[in-house]
Amino acid sequence: MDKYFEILLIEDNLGDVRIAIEAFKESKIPVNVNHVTDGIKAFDFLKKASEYKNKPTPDLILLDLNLPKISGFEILSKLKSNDDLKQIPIVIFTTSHTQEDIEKCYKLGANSFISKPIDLDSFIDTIRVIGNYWFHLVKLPNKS
Amino acid sequence: MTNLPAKSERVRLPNEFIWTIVFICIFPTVLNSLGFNFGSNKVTLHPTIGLDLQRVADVLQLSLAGSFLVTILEWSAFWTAMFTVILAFTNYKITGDVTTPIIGTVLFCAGAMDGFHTLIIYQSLNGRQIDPNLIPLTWAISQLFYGLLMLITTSLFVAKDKRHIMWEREKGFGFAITISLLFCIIAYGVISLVVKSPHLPTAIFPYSAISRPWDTGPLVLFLITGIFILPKFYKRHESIFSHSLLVSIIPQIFSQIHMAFDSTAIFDNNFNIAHFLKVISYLIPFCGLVLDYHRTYRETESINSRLIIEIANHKATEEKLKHQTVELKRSNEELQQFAYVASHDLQEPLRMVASFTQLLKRRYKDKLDADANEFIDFAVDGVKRMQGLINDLLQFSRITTQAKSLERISSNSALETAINNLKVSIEESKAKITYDKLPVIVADDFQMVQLFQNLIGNGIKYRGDKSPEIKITSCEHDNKWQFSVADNGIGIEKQYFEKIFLIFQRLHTKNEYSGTGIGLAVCKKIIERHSGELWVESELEKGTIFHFTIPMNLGKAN
Repeated sequence: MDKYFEILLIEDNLGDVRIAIEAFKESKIPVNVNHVTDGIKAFDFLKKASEYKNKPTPDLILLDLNLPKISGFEILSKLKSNDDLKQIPIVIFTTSHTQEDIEKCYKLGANSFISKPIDLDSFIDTIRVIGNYWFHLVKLPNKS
Repeated sequence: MTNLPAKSERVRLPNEFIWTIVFICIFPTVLNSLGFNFGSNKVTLHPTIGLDLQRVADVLQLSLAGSFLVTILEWSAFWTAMFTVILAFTNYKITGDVTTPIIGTVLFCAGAMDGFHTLIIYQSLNGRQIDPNLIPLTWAISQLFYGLLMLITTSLFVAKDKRHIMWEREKGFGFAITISLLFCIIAYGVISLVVKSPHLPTAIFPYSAISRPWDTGPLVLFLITGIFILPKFYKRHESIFSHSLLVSIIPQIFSQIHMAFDSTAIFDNNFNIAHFLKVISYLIPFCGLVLDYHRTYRETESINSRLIIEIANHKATEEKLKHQTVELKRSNEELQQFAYVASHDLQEPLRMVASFTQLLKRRYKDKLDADANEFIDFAVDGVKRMQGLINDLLQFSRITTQAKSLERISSNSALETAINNLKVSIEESKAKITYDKLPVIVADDFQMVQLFQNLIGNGIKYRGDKSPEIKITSCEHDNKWQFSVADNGIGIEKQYFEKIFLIFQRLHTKNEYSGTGIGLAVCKKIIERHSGELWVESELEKGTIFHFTIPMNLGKAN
């Protein structure tokens, strides 16, 4: 049966990507982590442009705010104003703690805002909670 | 003339001027002794002249010359007095010195009385039958009133103590003008009474030693005023004008001497000299005022130039200050930006080091030996401490970068929030916290909580063996609220009272007491932002009191 959930992780820090992958591995949730390092690649991925032709549509997007080229806010706003993509839940996963950033993200239509924990154990816990919540608790829309 | 001591800057008429006046007073007498005669004695038409029209005209001209001359002199005196009073009032407007217009008014009245006197002489030109005593009598009357007025008004200023200067200003002015006008009216009345009177007393005694006894009265008055009153007046109201008043008495006295002792007829030598000297006497205060103006102008000029230099200096300083302020603001902003960016950007690589060393331990704990595990622990501990320091630095820079505006808040509820935040450590340490009802203050709510939390937290942390007792009080002091947080902890040595407020300065190793040494630096910065002061009072083993003040009338400034 094993249905794999697809995650798109938009993150430029390869270390964080690796930790997230390891954390999902430890959580035992059947997740396939797809990863891009900036906004342009993210849109290519979602539109299944040449390079990403055979890639799946993600069930969940994890988005960092501090990204090269296009900022996380811009990606968020573009995704949420695209009729084909706005149903995909977006979790902001960032080092930022500021109230300003939090409000801005929710206004732009973010589905969650989570600050990256500094401590590894908490980081892994957080990833597990994200997986459990979005893939076990929440009912997700059908993929078109 | 007494030699004045070093006080060189006495405001007075120049000596040359005074000597010139004295010379002018003596000069007619000198010329007389050389044979000159200023008289314009009456020449009568003698039948022998016959119808020689040229001779008749000469005789007519000669016989009228005296009254013409005297009229011109008197009118000169009158107009000098007029101009003097105008100058005097202008001077009053500029300097506010009340003596000037008062004395000016006196001079004006004297001038007016001279005017009456002149009119009478003028009438004599109309060929009307006039009593020969009339002109000398009116002269004596107008001089008498002038002398009296001068004596009374100047005595007024001399008699009054300096403390009563306000009296002089408000009442003295009105009083002097009132008596001046009153005298003017009386003088006019007396003169017109004299003019109308059919029988006048004899005024000229040609063969007596005192040829015009009526004129001794004014002479005595001028002598008294000149010797006793005016020097005092000048001393008290030192100005060129008051000095010129004193000097103007000299020709007046000479004038009266010529009149009283030597004038035996109208328009004679001494009569004319007396009139001439009177004009001189009126000219002196006028010159005094003009010199006063000159002096004021020069003073203003020098003050102005000094002021201009000072303004220029001031402007330069201001400009420099402005520049420095901008520079300071910029470097401050840069510094805060730096702290913020550094903290944020430093976090990333640190998190990597920490995460992956932890991951290493997590995955390979069983495969590594004890040494390797210990090394990993040290590495993780170092990174964590580094993270702590960076976080603290970030927090420290946020005190000003992410500050809220200052508002009226209850410091009591800020304290309660702080106590609530410290609940766990209070319960663990069984700390006893007591506090007064604290006032409403103008402050940043969040920062006040942070402040109380740090101070109370310190009290709990550095508690020694006893269970902590912390007391928070407040009092009003010198337009400020003074708060005190007192504990019974380990105390601080006096030599460290300054050091403890510096960032990352600690008095203990991290094994004795944890922490980075940011708490009090944050407190200090918060208090500085509130324009208050923070200081410590402590005794080893007994306890520590932290005092801080918040100004009561702190605006909403940031």
